[in-house]
Amino acid sequence: MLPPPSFPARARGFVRSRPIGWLALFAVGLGSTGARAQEDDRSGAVPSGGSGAVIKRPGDAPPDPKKAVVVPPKLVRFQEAPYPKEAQEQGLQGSVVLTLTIDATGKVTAAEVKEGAGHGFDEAAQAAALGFEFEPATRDGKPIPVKILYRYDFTLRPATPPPDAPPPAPTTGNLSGTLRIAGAEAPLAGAEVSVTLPDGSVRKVTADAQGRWSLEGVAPGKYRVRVAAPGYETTSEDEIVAAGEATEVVYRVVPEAEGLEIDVVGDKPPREVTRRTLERREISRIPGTGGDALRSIQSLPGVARPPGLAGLLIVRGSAPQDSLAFIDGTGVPLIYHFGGLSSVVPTELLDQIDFYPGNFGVRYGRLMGGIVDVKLRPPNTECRGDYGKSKEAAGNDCFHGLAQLDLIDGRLMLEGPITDGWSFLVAGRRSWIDAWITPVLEEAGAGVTSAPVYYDYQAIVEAKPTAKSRFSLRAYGSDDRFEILIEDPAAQEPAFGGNLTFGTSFVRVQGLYETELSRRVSLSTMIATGKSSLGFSLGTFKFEVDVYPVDINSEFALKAADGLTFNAGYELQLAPFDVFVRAPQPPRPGEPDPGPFVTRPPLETQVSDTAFRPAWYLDAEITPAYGLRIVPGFRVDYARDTGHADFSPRVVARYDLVSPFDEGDTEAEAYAGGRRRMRTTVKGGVGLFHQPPQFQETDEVFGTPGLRSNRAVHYSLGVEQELTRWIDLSVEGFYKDLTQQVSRGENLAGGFSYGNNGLGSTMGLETLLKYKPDARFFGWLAYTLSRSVRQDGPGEEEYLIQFDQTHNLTLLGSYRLGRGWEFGARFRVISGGLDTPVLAPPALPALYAADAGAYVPLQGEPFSRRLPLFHQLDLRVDKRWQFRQWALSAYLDVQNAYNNAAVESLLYNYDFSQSTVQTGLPILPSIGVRGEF
Amino acid sequence: MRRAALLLGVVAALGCAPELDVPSEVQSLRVLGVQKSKPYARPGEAVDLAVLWHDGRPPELRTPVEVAWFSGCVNPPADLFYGCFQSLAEAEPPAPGAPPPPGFGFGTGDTFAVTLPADVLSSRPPPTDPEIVPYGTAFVFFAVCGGTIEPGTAADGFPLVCRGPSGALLGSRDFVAGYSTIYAYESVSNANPAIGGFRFNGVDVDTDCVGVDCLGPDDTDPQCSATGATPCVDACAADGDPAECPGYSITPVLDPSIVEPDRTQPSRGYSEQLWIAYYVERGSVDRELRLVSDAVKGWRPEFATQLYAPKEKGPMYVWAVVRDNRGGQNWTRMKVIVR
Repeated sequence: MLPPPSFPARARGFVRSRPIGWLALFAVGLGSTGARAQEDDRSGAVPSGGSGAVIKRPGDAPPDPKKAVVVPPKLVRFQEAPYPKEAQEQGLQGSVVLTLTIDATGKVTAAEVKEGAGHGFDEAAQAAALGFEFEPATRDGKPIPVKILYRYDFTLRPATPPPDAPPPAPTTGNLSGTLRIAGAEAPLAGAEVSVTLPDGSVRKVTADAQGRWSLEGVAPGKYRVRVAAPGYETTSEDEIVAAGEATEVVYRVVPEAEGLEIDVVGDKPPREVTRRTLERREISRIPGTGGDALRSIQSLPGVARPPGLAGLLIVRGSAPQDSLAFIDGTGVPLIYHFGGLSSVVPTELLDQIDFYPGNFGVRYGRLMGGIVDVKLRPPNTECRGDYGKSKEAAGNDCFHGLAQLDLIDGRLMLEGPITDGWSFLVAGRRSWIDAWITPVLEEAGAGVTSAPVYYDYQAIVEAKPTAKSRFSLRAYGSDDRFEILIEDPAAQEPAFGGNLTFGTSFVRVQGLYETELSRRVSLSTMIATGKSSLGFSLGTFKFEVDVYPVDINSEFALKAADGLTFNAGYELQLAPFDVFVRAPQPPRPGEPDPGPFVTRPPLETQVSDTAFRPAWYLDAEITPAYGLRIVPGFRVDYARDTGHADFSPRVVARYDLVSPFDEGDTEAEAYAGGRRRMRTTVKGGVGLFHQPPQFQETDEVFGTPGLRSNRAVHYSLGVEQELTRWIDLSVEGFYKDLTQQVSRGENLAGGFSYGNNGLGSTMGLETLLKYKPDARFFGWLAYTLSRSVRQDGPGEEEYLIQFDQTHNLTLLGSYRLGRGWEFGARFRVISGGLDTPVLAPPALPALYAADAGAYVPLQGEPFSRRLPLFHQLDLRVDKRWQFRQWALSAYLDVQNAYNNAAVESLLYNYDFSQSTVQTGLPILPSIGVRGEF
Repeated sequence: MRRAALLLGVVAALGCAPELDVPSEVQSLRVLGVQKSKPYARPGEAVDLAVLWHDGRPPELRTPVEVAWFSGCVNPPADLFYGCFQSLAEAEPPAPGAPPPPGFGFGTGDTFAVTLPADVLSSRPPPTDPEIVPYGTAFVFFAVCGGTIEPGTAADGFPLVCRGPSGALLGSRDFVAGYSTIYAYESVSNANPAIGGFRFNGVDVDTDCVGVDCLGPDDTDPQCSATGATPCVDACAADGDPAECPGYSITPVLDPSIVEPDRTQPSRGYSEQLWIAYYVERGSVDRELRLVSDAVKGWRPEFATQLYAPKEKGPMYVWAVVRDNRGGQNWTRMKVIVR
């Protein structure tokens, strides 16, 4: 807020700053409820590598009957920032909101720009803030580290008055402020504000409907401001009023029921051995991903690079169908559009992505690979002023919008308030690849009936009925489809000719309700329904699936005692479905090439049924000793389609070999006393996982009814080591023992049938050296060593699975250069893919399948040849321009910057006597622009 | 081929790759087709097979060609060809000069006859879906060798091998082995597609032959004429390069009535899918495989291709092999004079 024009500026005439309401600033550390409403670019730790410190947080520990007394930090040394020359010459003013990290000694250790103003303001404010000194915050009298928001205003000096008309020296100032409810960000109206003047007298004012109050024309000096309102904690602050200045403050008043715990570092300890979390800054800035949310997962340990642009999720040596993506707990059938070009949920809607590479908790089931759980963010209604700065007095009822265009698609988003406490978000995206791929297809001999196109859409309505509950109603969906007529069939597979149609789509309507029923009991419930469709046809082959799933998840958490929390949940999948398949029996991985499909008689099946799969689970979070955390649990799944129930016990544990601080101490005290140690945590887990067989495996026509679930035992053991305050190292070994796997073999009747005879294993080591995001940099080095093998039955030959990658090394980093520029790079070195060779001379490499006029290869050992090493450098540059009412950003993302001809597969001539390599994408620059307000 | 490869590349969204030998240019010993007199036969019926091959090796490397056949694999596991090799391996090999064991047949030459077992349908489990028409399969294997055919071992990948005059095993430029599948149905039939000859630049021309008449070389010596009955083209110094040489439209003469409905599955409404494979002795064609009829969209009248002349003068063969997706096929051949 600028001072009234009649007031000249302070010393040197152009800089003025005020903290944004000390109490409010603590909301940053209050946990997600308090922080989420105001943060749109959090840079929390991630991937945390399971950041497993056992940290006390609200909700972890029983409430202390004697509430802690927290005193905010006080600025004792202010450092003035030089006014940026460029801005001064252009007559620009601005405000920069900083997130200051203040240690227990009162020193500012980090100053991150939360809301920038550009034109050099950001850098100047950051540099100055690092020179601030504070009297440290305290809890119960003991110094503690905190994070606060700090607004640094840059205000130009008015034109120098003519010397013959000197202005009168001011003798009074103004004191005014705004009250907000912490967490909800709503104005707090009707609160009584008592101001004790320097002379000891008291003036009382009442906040208006917008939470505003003011005292004008008061004498310079120190004022004591006390805010009291029924149901809220009383707040007292000292403020300084200077002659000729307007002191404007914002207080975020905490509801009485909310504990005032401060969490400076760390997340709630996971119920899994390893949870890796990507947050938005990282998601949107990882080079080579085009800023796409889910493609960023491929940079984490344990995730294999899919071949070409297959858009598959391959986790710890599992087959793609063994892993699944969830949106707030609801499974979705696909996560990528065509060929992995982009994910079905745009990055702008994500709050975070949790990735569980294995040994995940009992709340997830029916899978034996990995889990990706995407969290959608609530609508943002925070108001901002000019140049994107906080507009403190304007409340929390503003609209925001976004438009983005890149080479693949364009998207729009709008969000804002509906009515008191309710907000909305709508977004949509459509590809425009049809504009350039259609001519290419036509040139290649295809008649394009329906151009390749995809779109997705999202709508969210959200409310916080109470301070401790949240209700969110979402609708989202995705659609990919095209239809072409291939008039030149492929010589090696004439079935690849004729009319080709492809379409995938899903829509979900999802309700989410979370509440704390009492201090010890919380409840979260999710209900979702919708439709998923998959359709494919080529010539006489056809595959159509329509599923109408109803998913219900509900979890109760009960804090039974100190160090003991139970989580009990119920999960239901009810899914009516219609399936039609007309195709030859497909080969399974590792089986010989069956020859051209075109002349093989197709099988046909049509099934309409309802899948009914309920599940129950229970786990306990136990902290029996300081630094030790054990989470045993079990899960029971039933599948009516297989007629079997599966019992899956699991347990994970974490133990701090070196605790960051002693029992009875607190992290804050440890910091203050210089006793804070670098944490060393060992972690491990073992669990049983079941995954029902796939449809075609149990279908009467294509498969064998009566199959049981695939079974896997996950073992993992690892260590996490803090190396410095900013660098963590995580090393984890894993082993998966696969039994009861669905496999296929010859039966007594001379045909093929499925059985649960398959075996396999995956073992590996994951290493993550992580530099946690600070004001300028984030990055990590991830390395995975793994080996994954399968057997079709006991005594059968063992072979590597198709997606096995022995080595996978990713090095990435992104650095904020200032002035809105950010530069990032990612370098990957990964073992080449696996290939099944054809027989070498003098043996014939192929037989002539005369009915098709094509050759069928005579193959050697399945997946026994490793293609050359893959390596690739990706670069990314971002630039953001902040204007008065909106911001424009652009990026240049260059994949394969040094144009490495990576070998993706081998190509053969018509009779497999010659081969050459199929290389991947050449250097591929991609640009995008985005405007937002 | 180039276009199909490009299309595959587009759909796979992958990068580029150098070109390999293309199948339409016959520059080695090649099998171009195997025709069955009855692609769908009744149990116990006899079926005649004929192989269309051409020796495209350089004249100085050509050696006499042997053709051998064997049958006896009925209803292999999952109807897959490689399921036959185990049953063949388990069969007792016949003594020299002795007749083959019951159920097995051996033969030589460009044609071969096989009789389906009477129990080809009844010996396999009925379909789980009663609406699916029961069928059986019988596999016939063949080998075309520019040398001498001998029994092979499991390591050779195929029960027969081909040895050259020096006794060395010959590879894929001199030896083609393959299989053809005869489908047995009680009451469903399938005819080979009828071909009415060749059309060159929109004009019907003299066609050497159609079907089994094309087995063996054409001994005639046609000459260019004013009527255009024999197609003649000018030699092209760029040797069939589509960018440098003029193109000539060629197509077999086909009638939409050759498309039959597919009545073997519960879901009716599909028809056969038909396509053409073009082959040239020299020169090149721009589109090697062309769709004639789609199973859903039906007849596609634009199935011609462009022929580009070689630089070497003299007569040359051009073939068009028409196949359906149920094992039916037919072919036609013409001579083109390169001036």
